[in-house]
Amino acid sequence: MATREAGKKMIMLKSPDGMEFEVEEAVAMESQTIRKMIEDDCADTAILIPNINSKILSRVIEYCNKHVPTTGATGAAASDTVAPAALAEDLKIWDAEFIKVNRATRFDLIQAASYLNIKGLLDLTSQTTIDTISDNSLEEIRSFLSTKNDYLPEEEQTIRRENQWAFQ
Amino acid sequence: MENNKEAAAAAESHGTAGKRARSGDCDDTADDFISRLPDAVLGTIISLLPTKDGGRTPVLSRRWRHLWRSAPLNLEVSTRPPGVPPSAVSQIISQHHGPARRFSFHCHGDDDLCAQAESWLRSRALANLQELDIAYAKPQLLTSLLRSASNILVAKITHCDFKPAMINFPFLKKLSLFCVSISADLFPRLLSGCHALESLYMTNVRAVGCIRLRSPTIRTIIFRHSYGETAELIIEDAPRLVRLLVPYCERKDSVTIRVIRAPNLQILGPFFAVVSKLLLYQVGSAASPNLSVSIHTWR
Repeated sequence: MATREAGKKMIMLKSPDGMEFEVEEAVAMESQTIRKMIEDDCADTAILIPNINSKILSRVIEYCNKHVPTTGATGAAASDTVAPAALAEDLKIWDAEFIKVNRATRFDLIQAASYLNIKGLLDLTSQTTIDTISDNSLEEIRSFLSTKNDYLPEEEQTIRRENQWAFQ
Repeated sequence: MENNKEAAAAAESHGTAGKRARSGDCDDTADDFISRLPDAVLGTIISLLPTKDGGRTPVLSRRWRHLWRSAPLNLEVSTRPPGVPPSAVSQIISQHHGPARRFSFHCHGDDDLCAQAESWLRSRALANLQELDIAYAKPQLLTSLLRSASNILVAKITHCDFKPAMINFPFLKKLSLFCVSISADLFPRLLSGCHALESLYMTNVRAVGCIRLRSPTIRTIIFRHSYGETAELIIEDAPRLVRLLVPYCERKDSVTIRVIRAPNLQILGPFFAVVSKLLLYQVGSAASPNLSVSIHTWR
């Protein structure tokens, strides 16, 4: 799909572990961070993406490849917010498969989506966390997130009292 | 009352302390990935949570202590769960620093509540509100809420009688009306008060007479009607309209859609030809050769 048309401008993305990924500029610009670099002319031949290893970066590129808007003959599809129903449904199924990863990978993806500013990917990767926090007890949430309760019991009680309305 | 609450909190705290020891044993990984995320990402996650779940996050750990206060507030008020009751709102808005992402208000409400709701919307916590979701509000309450939140970007109004005297939403982009009754002459005024409206979703909108629509900015209209009553939608002038969708009509429906001027219309339908009438005048032009109309016929 990415190389469907010849003559498209390509961008080289480099991960800190030395891997290079050649992607279409339009795909790279799904990331608002990279878009800004390109628009500000900060991107020469290759862009180093700090803090995102090649494994995660390749998954991010996979996501952007799938989600880059395909421009129709009139150019309307790219600017329109509502995708045709069939395409939207197809993307949903694809997203559901994409996010079937272990917890460590998912949090790496959240971090990458946040740094690269890719809203769709951030929403997708955060959703599992949101689902976990919704409707579970604090202990279940801590357990899922591997968050240690580092409050003293009396501190915890004080904070509970401050937000008493959330526990009623 | 206050003592009871404290006792309950203490009891719950002991309960969770007991569970904590157990969950620590079976936890497969000790890495706290989520707490390493930047504040902004955790804030986004908190702002997407139901109100109570968001309000509980400060108790998770020190890392989460102050995030809720600065994360965009999602305030869902309703007389029944999952929202918080109106009585809890003053405490929430006194604690939160704003801004607010969304205010949802699903209450019938009396006159007293109208004044309260107006004062909530003037608070720092609900400043720069982006999204408003109102259901079951009496006309006066609906008027108060809409007047106090005129800078919203997204609005959803459900099961209301729509009668506001003054309508002006300069930034509203997306408007959803579900089971709303509105008079035929008020509807055009509503639309002319929405200066930036791009998307309009109407389900079971009851209007006396037909619904006449004129909007220089609108791009998408979804019109859904399933009452078995006759409904008529007239698109008088919508120069930027691209999609007019009429989904999920039931067999007994009788929907008439007249499109008088929509030069950029590209997608229209589906229609059930036996029960619906479609009348097109100035639709499509040289600028828009791609209009596709899908007509389904019942057998």
